[in-house]
Amino acid sequence: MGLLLGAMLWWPLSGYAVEISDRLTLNGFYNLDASLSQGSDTVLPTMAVDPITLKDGEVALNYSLIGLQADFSLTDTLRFAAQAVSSRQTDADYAPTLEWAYANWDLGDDLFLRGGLLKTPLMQGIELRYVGFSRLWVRPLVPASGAAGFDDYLGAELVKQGRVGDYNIGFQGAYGVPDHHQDFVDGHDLKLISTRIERDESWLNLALMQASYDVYSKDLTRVIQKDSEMVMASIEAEVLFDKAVINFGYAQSEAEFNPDERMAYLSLGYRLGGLTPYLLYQYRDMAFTAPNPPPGPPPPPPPPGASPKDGELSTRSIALGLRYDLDDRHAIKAQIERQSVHDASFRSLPAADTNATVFTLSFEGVF
Amino acid sequence: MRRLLVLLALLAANPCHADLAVVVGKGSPIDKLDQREVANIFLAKTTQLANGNRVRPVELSDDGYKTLFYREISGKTLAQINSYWTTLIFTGKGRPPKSVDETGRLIELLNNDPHAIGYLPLSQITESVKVLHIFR
Repeated sequence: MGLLLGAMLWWPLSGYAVEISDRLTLNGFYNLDASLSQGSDTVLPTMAVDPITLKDGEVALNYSLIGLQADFSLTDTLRFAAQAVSSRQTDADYAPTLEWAYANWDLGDDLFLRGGLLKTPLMQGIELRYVGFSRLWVRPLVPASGAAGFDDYLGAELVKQGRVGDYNIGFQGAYGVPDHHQDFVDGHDLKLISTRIERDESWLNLALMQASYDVYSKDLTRVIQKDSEMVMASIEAEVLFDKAVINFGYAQSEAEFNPDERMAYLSLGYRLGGLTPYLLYQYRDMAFTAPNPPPGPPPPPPPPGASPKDGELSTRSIALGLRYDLDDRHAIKAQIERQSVHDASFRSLPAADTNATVFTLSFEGVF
Repeated sequence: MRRLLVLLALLAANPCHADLAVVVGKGSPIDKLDQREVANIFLAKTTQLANGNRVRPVELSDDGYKTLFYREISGKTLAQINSYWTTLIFTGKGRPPKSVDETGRLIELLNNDPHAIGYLPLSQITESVKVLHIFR
């Protein structure tokens, strides 16, 4: 939190990027976000792996964070980049997390090879999830755990950029070892392809990812399900019509053991100079199923909480907000959001429906 | 030199242009660029020209020149351009052109690096640079 306040004090003096030398550049971003829930306790997406509850009637800074990126060019064709974020991890602590770090080789002909810790380019531009300034609204519904729990991977990717007429097109193919946010899910390999098509200010992203993994018991001593598979696809776009800006996205994953997910969002904004009112609708549905029994005698029951049971968890959110760009690097957003959660994910409990109205005021910037 | 003077004379007859020229150092192998190529270079959509020449964009930090230049190549305001850079920087997929404070420093960079390419107001162009494209 001290870092965040330091950045807030420093920002009026800063330019865009800090050039330490000809080869080393630093950039950063921050969100100072205050949210108030009314109606019931609610869980908003944060950077924390374990959900943080926003208590009814309390104001919390759960989504506040600061990020720093360093970019070092070793040669004309080889550079290294890394980005870390410090955000609230538990009710009491802020902690830094390495978001991504990789080497980038420019192979010529607009072909790039990147290797290291990379983000999956799925729903709501996961790489940009915490850069509030980069989007119209306050926060996406996609949680820190990302696509079906796979947010990043250790591997390599080839990126090719090209142009066809007025369109700029990028292709990405990647292979690596996925990292799941839960320790008891052990990723084997991940394959993904994605493409981005841009024209003027509008763009379309398509991505398809397949991951395989083993699932262990919570104490990590026993394999519950071996060679599980997950497939996820997403489509996202931003389209501009004069002063209107439309964003939409849809992602669906089918997974063994992990919950199947469907996520979608649609927003409409209208630019009035520096002021942009917007409307945003988002949903996230998770369907839990018990793992398939392996051949042979039935295994002993897993310990409590070790495996999800049949059921579903659905979150719906509709928000009305206002973004005001103070200048080209700082923005203020005010948002009122109605969030409804239907939780039928645990057989032992009756299904629960909760509704909350969340008021958020955020100050976001980049440097 | 004659070419430069002809260009300046043409521009003086047309006061509506943005008064900016895309330039490289005298040692650059690049002789000509069209507006789309200029846009692709300065918006980080390419690092290489069709003929294989690598390019490295540099610019003055002056917001006034940037405003004019990016309006010419993309139709975007400086705020929209900075928003565009935000998405590239924080995904690690691109960086804005290297920025320098003084014209002399920019010309020095152009002449020390055959891959460097910049833009300058016409009034600050010297004999030590090659003009590739003029926005009018």
